[in-house]
Amino acid sequence: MDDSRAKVLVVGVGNTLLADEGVGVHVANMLQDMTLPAHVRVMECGTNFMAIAPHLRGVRKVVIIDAVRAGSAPGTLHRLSYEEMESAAGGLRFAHQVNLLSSLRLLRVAEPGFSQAGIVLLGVEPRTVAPALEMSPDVRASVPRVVEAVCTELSAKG
Amino acid sequence: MSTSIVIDHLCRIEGHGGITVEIKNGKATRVQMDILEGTRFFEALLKGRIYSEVPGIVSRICSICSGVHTITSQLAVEDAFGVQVTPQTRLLRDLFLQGGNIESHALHVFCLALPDYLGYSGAIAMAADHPDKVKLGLELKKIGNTVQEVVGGRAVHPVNTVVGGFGKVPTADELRQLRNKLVEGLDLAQTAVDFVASLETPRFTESPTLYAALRPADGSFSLLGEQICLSNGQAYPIHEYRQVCNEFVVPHSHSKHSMFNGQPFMVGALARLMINGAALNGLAKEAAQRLGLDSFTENIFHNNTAQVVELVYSLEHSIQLIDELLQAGVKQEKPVEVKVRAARGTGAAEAPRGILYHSYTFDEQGRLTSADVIAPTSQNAANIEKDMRVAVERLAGEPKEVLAHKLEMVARAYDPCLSCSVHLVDLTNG
Repeated sequence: MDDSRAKVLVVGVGNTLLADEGVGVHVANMLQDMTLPAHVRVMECGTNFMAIAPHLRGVRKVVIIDAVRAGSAPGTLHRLSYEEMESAAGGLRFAHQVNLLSSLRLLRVAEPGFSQAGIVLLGVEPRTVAPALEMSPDVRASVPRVVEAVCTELSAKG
Repeated sequence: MSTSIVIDHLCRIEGHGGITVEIKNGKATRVQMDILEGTRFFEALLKGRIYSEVPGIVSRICSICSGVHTITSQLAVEDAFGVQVTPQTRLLRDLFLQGGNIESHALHVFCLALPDYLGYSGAIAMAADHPDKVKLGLELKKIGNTVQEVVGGRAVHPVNTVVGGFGKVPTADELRQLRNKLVEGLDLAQTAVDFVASLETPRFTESPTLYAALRPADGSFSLLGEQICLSNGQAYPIHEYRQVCNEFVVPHSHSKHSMFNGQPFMVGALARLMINGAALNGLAKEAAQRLGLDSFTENIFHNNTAQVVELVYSLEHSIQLIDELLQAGVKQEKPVEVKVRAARGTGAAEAPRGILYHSYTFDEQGRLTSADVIAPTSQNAANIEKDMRVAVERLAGEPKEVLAHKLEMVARAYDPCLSCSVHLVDLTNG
């Protein structure tokens, strides 16, 4: 159901059957076990990003955690604003089949107020996306840094 | 004279696929639906897992279809161990599947297929001129998401539904709130019917088609059923699904294809209407009449309109299910206890795109030894190629780019989920 108090939405994206592709989901699950401010809602949507649509009312900021290939060392954390995602669209490759950027564009068009919301992508460079329930050691080791980066986003203005 | 059409990436479908066509003297010498998603065999992740873990793992095969994968997996496990769930569980599962149907059809009709009818490259371009259509689709989609959240506990990868029943049952208040949203949705869906009735349906692929859909013992229109019915009058119990889906490997696709006695067949909303449409009632029946789907059609573009009829059906039926649940009194009952044994079990349900099968074998400890999953898009792949071949031969004189666009429209009309089609578990050596 809609929860209008949730002004910041943290969304973990990915497929946990494909090793590091599931990092966003694993981080979201960890965050759900933590005590966070009441205005923060954490959810994971697998690779179905459009499933966040019922939760966008009154949201001023969305923090997305996902696996992103940018040619860096596995476990490297990338931070991109929505504008940076748009300008990097040609060179940026999400590690799974869902087109996150297309979904965001559509939601910005269709959801009243969402086009004004701040959007931040915290992308983790994967080592492997082969079938496995466990993440690679490099990416697993990056998880505390990703959690810390989410907390930084939650305390930042805007 | 020969020509070829190669589309490397089909837009507005779930997953990565393309089309390759070769034409010589007006005849199609090669027509391929290239499913290019990387093959992903999950046997290593499933083998040896205890039965209760299996639905949660297979639900991750595809997030778009996670709800129906979960339910179908639970049905297969329960079939293996002889578990009979309660009437309340059956009603809640039905409601949950209707939510997935609403979500999926709303997105496909308004954001993926409609741009073809209105002449846009995609939903975002279309939204500039027709924002109301995109918003209508997304409002309906959100209602489908909400059904799945209330019943399943989450919009994607449900946690409440478990083998034997529900770990957590929605409260009567939650169901009443949900009912209010569904009533609003039914009004929106009626608007959708009015609008779609004004669109012209292309007919360039119309050709003999065999349909397959599940049918329940009571003969109602349903997303669940015990028999696989074919439009040629034949029927098989779901345990004999391999009689209908004779799978084979094709070199150009990472998805297997299926034929019934050497004949391609179609599964999905249109197949359900062609096989069970006479059982529709209420507003859904009116919608089917309004959209010309109350008589037999062999035009795949009617799958888009059939999805609109099913939007009405799923909303209307969800309201009826909630009324039934509330009338009986919602009980916080525990899941039925499972007594494991060495056994094989099969489950089937109608996913938005057609019949989904899961079949597993377990050892005496209830650990999985073999698994077989057949997704609707694998079943439709051969029929997509059949329809594209018809289109190529009828439209051979059209400019190449026009023909290419029309072939993409054919593939999109099936609402294919290529991620599901290759994310198959096929572990038959257990």
